[in-house]
Amino acid sequence: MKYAVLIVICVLFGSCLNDGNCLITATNNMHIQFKKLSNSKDSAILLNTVQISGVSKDSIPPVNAKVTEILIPIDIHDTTTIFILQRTNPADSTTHYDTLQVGYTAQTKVIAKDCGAFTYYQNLKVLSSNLKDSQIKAFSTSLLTDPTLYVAGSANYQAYAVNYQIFY
Amino acid sequence: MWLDLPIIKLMLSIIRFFISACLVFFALLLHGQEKKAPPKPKKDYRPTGLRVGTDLIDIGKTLATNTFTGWEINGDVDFANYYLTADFGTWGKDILIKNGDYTNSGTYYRVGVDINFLGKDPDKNMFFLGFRAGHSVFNESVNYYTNVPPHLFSPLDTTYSNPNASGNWGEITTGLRVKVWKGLWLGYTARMKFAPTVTSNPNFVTYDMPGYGVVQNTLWWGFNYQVFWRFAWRKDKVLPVKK
Repeated sequence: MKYAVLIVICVLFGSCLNDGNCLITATNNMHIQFKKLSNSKDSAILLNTVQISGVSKDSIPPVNAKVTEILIPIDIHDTTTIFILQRTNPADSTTHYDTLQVGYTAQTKVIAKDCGAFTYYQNLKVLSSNLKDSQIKAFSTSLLTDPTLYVAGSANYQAYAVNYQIFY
Repeated sequence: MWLDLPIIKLMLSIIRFFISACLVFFALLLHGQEKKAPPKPKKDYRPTGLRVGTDLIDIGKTLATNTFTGWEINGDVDFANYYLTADFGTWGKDILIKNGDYTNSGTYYRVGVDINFLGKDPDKNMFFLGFRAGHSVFNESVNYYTNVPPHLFSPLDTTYSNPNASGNWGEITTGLRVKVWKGLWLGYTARMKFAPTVTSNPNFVTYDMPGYGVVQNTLWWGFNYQVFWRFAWRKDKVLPVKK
């Protein structure tokens, strides 16, 4: 009986010492969804390339696909990032360049000794864009991911908080 | 002859029982008037001594590890079975985290009251429950390495610091103080710490607050094993009741 009590005490105190799992919600990926102004069910756009300030053009592989949402990384060395989305209008095959400059703040958190420290990006806002204000709808101002939904090797959009919807 | 009737017998029994009960009641009443309960001795709230000690665990951790440096002084003064208690300490940590290192250092104090539940013990040994309010002034810094997939940006070395951070918290305490020899006392204090609040650089969330611990844990615990010396300036005695 006394051993049972000892085991219970050890388990209780052990749980106090345990750092737990490293569930990291920090990310530098911004989640953008594309929508049609016409309320069409097919909201996919033909996205050719994405340029990101601070990254050489050659480093980013072209998209060249119909997409309804994308995850694009913000510059971790700066507090602003400029994105240029090159897309093709399928109606007339014209090429459009949409520019989006976003600003953000960084907050450092030490999660635990065995997990490390991470930067959380917050206060996301559009600083400038060639899109009309009515075309950009803001959602979460923080870049966050749900680690329980993360799938290694694939972009699971559901695991990331939606930051913006862009209407075409 | 009519006295043999069952109903009359029952009535006589009831009358006899009633008379006996009345006699017992009056006897007890008279007895109570003769012997009044002795008056409770009035508590003497004048302090009888100052107990000063230190935490042996902090000293042990400082000597045995290279990740912690600290010490703590504890003191209390008795007011009957209530003790005004104060602690002062320093705390510094140098921790290797998975992607860098974290350091902090600072001072803290706690003040509070303990209630001794062994108030009648002639040696004033204690089993106590108490409350503390804690305050800490400290600095902390972290240096860490970030290399996020898909590795479009070069790895980033980040350093942040909180040079003038401060914080508060509360504690519920319990423990023992036992007189070992003359003025030498040993004891332990178990602490349940709660409600930490920190004022610091908003770009760096405080990780570890001296005196409290990991701030993300809004309910935390602590343990001290302490050695004390008690400087007694008078004997504890019961004051006579004023007439």
